[in-house]
Amino acid sequence: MLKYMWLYLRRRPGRILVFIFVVALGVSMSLVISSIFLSFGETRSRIAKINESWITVQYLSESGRDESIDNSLVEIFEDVFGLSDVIPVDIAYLGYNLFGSARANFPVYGIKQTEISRMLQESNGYISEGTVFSPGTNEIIVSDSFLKASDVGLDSVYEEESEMASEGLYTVVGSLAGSSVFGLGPSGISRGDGLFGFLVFSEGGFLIAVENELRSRVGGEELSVSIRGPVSSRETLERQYASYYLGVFLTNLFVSLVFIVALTMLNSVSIRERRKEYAILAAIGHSPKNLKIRLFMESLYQGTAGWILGLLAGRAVLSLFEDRFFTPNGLYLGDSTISSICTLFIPFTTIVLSQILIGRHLRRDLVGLLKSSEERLGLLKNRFRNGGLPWLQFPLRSDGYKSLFVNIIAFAALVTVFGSLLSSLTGTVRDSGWLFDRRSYVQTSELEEFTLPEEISLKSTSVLPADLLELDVKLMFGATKLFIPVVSAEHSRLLSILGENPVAGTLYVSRGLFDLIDNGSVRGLDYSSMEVLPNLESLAGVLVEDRIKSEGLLLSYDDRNLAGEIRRFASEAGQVEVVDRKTFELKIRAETQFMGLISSIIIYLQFFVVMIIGVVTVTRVVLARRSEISIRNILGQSRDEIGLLFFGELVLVLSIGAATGYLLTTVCWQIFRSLFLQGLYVSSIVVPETLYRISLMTVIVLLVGVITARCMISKQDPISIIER
Amino acid sequence: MFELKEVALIYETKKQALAALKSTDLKIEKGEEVGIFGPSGSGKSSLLFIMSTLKEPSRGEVKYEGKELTALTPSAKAELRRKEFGFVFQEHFLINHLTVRENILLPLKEKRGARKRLEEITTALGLNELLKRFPYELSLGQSQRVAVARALIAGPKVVFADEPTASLDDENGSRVIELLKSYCSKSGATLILVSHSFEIIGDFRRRLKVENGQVYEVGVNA
Repeated sequence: MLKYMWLYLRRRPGRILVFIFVVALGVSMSLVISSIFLSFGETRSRIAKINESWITVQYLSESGRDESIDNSLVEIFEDVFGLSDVIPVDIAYLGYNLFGSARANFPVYGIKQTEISRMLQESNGYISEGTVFSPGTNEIIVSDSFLKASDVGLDSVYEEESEMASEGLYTVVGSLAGSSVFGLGPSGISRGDGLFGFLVFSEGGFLIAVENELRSRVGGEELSVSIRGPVSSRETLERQYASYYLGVFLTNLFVSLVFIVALTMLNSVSIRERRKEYAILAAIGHSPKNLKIRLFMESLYQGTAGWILGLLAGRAVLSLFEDRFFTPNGLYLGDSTISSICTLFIPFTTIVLSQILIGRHLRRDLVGLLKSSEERLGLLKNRFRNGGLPWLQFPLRSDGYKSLFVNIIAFAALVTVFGSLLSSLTGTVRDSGWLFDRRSYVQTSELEEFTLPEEISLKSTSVLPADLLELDVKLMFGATKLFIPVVSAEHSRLLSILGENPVAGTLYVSRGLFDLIDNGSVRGLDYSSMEVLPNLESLAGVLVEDRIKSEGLLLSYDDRNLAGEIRRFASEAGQVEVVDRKTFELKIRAETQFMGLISSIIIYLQFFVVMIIGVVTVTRVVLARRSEISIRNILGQSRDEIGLLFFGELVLVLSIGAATGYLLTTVCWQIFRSLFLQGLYVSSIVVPETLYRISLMTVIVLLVGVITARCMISKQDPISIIER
Repeated sequence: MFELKEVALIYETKKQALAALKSTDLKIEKGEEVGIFGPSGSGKSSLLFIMSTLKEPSRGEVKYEGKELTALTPSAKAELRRKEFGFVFQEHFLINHLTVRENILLPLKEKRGARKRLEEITTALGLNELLKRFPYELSLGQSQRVAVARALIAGPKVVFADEPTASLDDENGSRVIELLKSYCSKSGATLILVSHSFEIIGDFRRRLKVENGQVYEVGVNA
């Protein structure tokens, strides 16, 4: 067997190397792309991991520490664990930008300076650079990955505006290294308005028991306190990783499909070329089973070689990416074992398909096999010969268009899938901002002292005090934030969409949001009843309460330009947060940046493949049909007419291929959605955008093909070509 | 119809010049039945290719119905071949991925009105049963009959046949010759047939012999 392989390798090194190269390319691409997805999951998990070092018991307060809550908590701690292992903290959250894919918030703990070493010891962290913070300042030390991700150096002033709890300016004085992402600063870091509480320490093994005990105690006392520890951290991790694994799975699936199609075509050509060889081997006594084993071993050797090469190349690219892309953006690479195993799908499926292909040929008798090796026509010949599609028969019957046909189908499928994913992601963020299309929410620190200028209040149709509820919506990859205005029953009439008598404690939602909540994809809700309101569209909702704390104002207006004026005014007046149209535009840009990048890479890569295949196919077709061209020329067809014939054939092959790819994928996508993506919000697919992309690229491939064909059709005497 | 004046075809290489056809003067009238014979490599096919615009002469004038053929553009030559000429070669030169019917209709620009003509020709040539087949499913004789049908479908004024019987048995060979002759005599078209064997063209009205690139009149049958 090995001797035979060696002979085969010596005889056809080009084809084998191309096969190995394509497997390696597929494996490495699949590995790199899925590792990028996983790096977001890994980075988020590092943030959640801090909850495995200690338990955070926290409550929200507008005016510093709440003594009554503190006392109740201290009593619980004393009662159960003894006070020695508890320290008081205040907590600010800083936003962490995961290369535009999504934001994640990590905690900065305000502690006494004397607690620094304890905190570092518990979290297995250490100060890698800079100094420690001084008491009574705004100095903080944060994880080095955050410094990289946010491009904030030591001694630089960092301002995080969009996170409500972390108002103000911080001076970053030191960087923390370790397995968790968090920050430390002096007591008072949340500046009197934010989160306060305690950190509870315990031996690693007891932390879970302590967390569970604390939950039941705190629940019994009915304190509005939240607890974060290893149990909740594990839940968060599982939830977040699930969506990233789905991303890895889908990416691998689509990338793999492209390469499996290419590899199977390579195999198909190779098997067809070697039919005579198989026939001769069969004639001298090799059984079909033996021949199948031969091909299996060949595919296995080639596939394994390609897989190993691909893994090595993928790892090399990853380590290059780590230096150039991951580390500079504060992303952790994580473990790529699962992505590596997923890449086995490419060689495995190819080997299985090649067995099916060879099986088809070996079913013929010996004479049939020998004769079939003389056949010049391809696989699709019989399919289209007497079928009901006479207009499709013509180009597909001639040799050579099949690879282009299959590839344009794959290309259209990829554009549709990634276009749909991207537009669904963009659409979800856009849908979540429906309510704010002609509304602005301004967060105010002191409502009584805050007065709107006349030019704004006059132009607004309504101004009412409101709060803003932030909800996490689970998406296919990660999550996005949804903003729900909370208004009082008294003021709610001002909001014309709610009708006459809104009921306090009711969450009024659009149909889309209702389904989403019903599916359990939304977290952080607090209401007693829910009602679907036809006035609300997309992903919109309003919560009506008896009384609200009124942290801000909700302004409605008809003139969209007012949003800019409100934003300017709020910024000048030093208001913390404004939510309006622009917020969602920025979110779309930020949260779809990564997906856009990945889909562009894949789409353009496949486009490049289609272009090359287009040129190669047309060249092959013209060369293979030189005598046909001459016959046509002898019979009176001019070069222009023959050029037109090739144009027509290409138009048919490309347009039917593109349409097939698009329709097939749309149907499969709908089936896939209903089977696997239940409970995830997927916005409507933007069809025109996808169709435009497919059409544009099909036309480019067509033009390149036609130019190639025109250049190839010789000006020589037709009879000289035919005589040759 | 055809008027050749001092026409010659010379293949020049770096070392030598080889005359496939030496200076030739020839006139062929409309409706004539001309048989050209001679040994292999004598230049008979070159003469046929020059007259049918498939090859450019190295020098001399080739006139068809008063028009100088060498002055025509490639597109004009193609148009002329489509409208006025029909071709049958030694090899049938059918296009493998087109059906028999599609192959026969190939020279026609407007294929819609051709049904009646197609039926006439295919009935005459006994091809009615084969129309949906592909060339690789035909015997040599059948293929050559399809090539004849293709040559005649557009009603050409001149039929050029280059060794049309060389790959056929006697029976099929004489059948093809008869078909070509009967078309030409009925339609008044000119038949120019090249063969290496005198037997094939023995009963042609006008016979030309080509030897070493020289063309000789052999005689006219009554």
